[in-house]
Amino acid sequence: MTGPSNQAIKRMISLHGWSGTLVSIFLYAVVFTGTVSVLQDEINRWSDPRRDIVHPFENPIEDTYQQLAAQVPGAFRGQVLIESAGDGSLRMFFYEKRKLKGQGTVDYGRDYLLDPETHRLLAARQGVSPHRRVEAPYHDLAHFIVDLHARLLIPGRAGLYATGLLGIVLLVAAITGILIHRHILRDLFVTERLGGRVVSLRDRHGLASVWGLPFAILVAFTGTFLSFAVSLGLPVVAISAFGGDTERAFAAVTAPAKIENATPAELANLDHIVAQAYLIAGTHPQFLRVEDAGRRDARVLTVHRNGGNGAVGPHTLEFNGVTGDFLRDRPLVGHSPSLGASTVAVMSPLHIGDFAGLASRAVWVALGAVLSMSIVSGMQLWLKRRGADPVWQACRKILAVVVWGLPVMLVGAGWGFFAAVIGGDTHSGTVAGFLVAGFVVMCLSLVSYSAQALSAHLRRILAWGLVGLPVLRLQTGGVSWGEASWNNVWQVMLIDLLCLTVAMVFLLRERAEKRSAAMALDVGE
Amino acid sequence: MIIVASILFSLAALAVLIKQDPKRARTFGLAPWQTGVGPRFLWLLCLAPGFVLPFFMPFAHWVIWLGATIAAGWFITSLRPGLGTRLKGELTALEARILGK
Amino acid sequence: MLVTWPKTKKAMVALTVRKDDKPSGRFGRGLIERWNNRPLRTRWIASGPVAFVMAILSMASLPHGLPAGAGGVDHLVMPVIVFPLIWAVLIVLPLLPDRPGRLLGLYISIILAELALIVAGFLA
Repeated sequence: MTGPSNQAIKRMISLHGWSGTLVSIFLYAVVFTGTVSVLQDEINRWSDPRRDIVHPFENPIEDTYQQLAAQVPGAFRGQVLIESAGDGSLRMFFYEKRKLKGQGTVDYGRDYLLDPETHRLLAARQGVSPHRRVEAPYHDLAHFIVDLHARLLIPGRAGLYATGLLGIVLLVAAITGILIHRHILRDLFVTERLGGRVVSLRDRHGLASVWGLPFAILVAFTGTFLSFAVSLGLPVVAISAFGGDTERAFAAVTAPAKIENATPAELANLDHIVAQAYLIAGTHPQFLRVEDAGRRDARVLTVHRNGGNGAVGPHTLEFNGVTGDFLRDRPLVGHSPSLGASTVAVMSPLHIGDFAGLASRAVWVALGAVLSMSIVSGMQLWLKRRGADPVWQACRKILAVVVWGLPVMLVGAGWGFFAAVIGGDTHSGTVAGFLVAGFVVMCLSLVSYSAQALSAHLRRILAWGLVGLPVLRLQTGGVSWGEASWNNVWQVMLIDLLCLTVAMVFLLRERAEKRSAAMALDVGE
Repeated sequence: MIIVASILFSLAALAVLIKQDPKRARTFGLAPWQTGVGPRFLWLLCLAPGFVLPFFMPFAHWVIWLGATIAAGWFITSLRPGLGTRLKGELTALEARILGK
Repeated sequence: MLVTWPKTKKAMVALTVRKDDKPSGRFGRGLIERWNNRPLRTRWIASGPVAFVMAILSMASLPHGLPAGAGGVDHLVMPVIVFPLIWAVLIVLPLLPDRPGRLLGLYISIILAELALIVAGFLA
């Protein structure tokens, strides 16, 4: 087999380089924030100052369910959603499907928020369902980082389109990269040569990209799917296969077939069902849904997060609502297991890496770091090759601003969050911290005379900012290490240690570089 | 545990592959390590857990094996040869500084 | 047959080294020749808008061609899943041949076929 011609390879190098150059800054932003947001759950727990948080499904819910069901109007008793709300409280939402003018079919009913441990009533209201996002101020930091990753802070569908497009660019870069690089296996073990020459950067870029290739393709593919599936894919398929009826298309993909039986019957004990679900899936449910309570064909669904008992995808367990027997693990889409359903089910866990707890997340963070390295070294290589040109010289500074400025800005967001955590608006605090840090980075870039000096400055700021994060967290009423070890909140220690370790690595490296520079000066004299 | 063992096993095979890689040796002006074991056999050893794991472990573990091997493989490849000697030199210098003061 | 004079040196070479140059009055052949004479522009068009339209239309037409599978959803879900891959491959393909005219012709005819499939699906 002969590969592509030399001319074709030249064209592909040009596409690989230019596509990377034009958007690589955004690509880096998405990949870097993605790497950080792998630790979303840990950051959430770390930034949350509450000492002990009880999972709502750890305590029996049946009695409270019965009490509330007796209070609500009969029409709302059929469908129930029980979940762990955004702020950690227990939600019970009793509703019916109702057609509202201008809104189509919505879930309309009564919504109760309860204390997860004592089931004391915290809030109650009657209305339309999409109110999932309860005030969860302590999750604003992680939410901000994830939002930056998933839609670059662009609101609405446009943000999803932007990140989807970046996913396509990454895929194209991976494909052209394979086709350009004719000695992938031979160069697999060639470490970066000393000297910071073009060939050293080529080694660096090649090494990180070739090792990171499977992961790059995986995250680009799954990420593009996550961006486009609902924002573009489903509407297109709906138009083509259902004449534009998105609701019908959604129903065809998600709703299972069921034999109707309206004979009245008592609902099974929910506590027994939750206990069974825990045994099968290995985790507490994220939410539990009762369908058609009070009828013989009632169903209870428990939906669990990704992973659990060795699976990669999420579990959706279906129980008979009258006898409480376990029926089956319901596929994510369609009415029986299929290739499409199992592929869709693994898309999000393989993108986020949250299928085996901390183990998979640690691996995903490491792979994300390799991918970031590959993108940054690619940009460095591109600029090095054009070193003489003054325009590209200026770009070097931009590269430094982006590569080190973005982490500084994320740390700034963290500072803003903690500054606002006592009594303030954490969302505005996070955004303000991010923007202020960005402003500082901009000012620094204007006053510093070279890209190297700028990078060194930003690295120093990053290191000290990271050291400050745990301190600030403790000062604003965060969980102390003693309390953390008492209540088994290991996330607090993990993220604190991570901040301190990264900061130490930067500071030590800077020291070593200074010393070797001084030694070189001595020798020169 | 089996996962950790298989990751370490793959990395060990990779380390030998790195040590005896001719192009790497040429780039750094070193003599490649002679082990008498062919690279094909070493590759087979390195990837062996990937063929075996799916049969008696859940899919999630296989994914973790692959991801961890790739990330750690990149890391050990990106270390320049002679790291041991350099570290030793650093430690000796540190010792001298501590004792000197 | 109207042949525009090649603007670039590469296009000139492409025009002169052509082996199977038979003067033909057929419309399609003439069009492809014209595309071949401006390879850069043709590649931009094929990798850009045409690849995008073709990827979208592939996603829209596959539900009419794929089997529904055991769950009854494969024909709806699989096109959405493979859409990124299709799009990325379609962007890279026009870079491979030295004379991309035929590929652009192929793209356009596939787009027409997909449109026909979608219309047939609507009518059915």
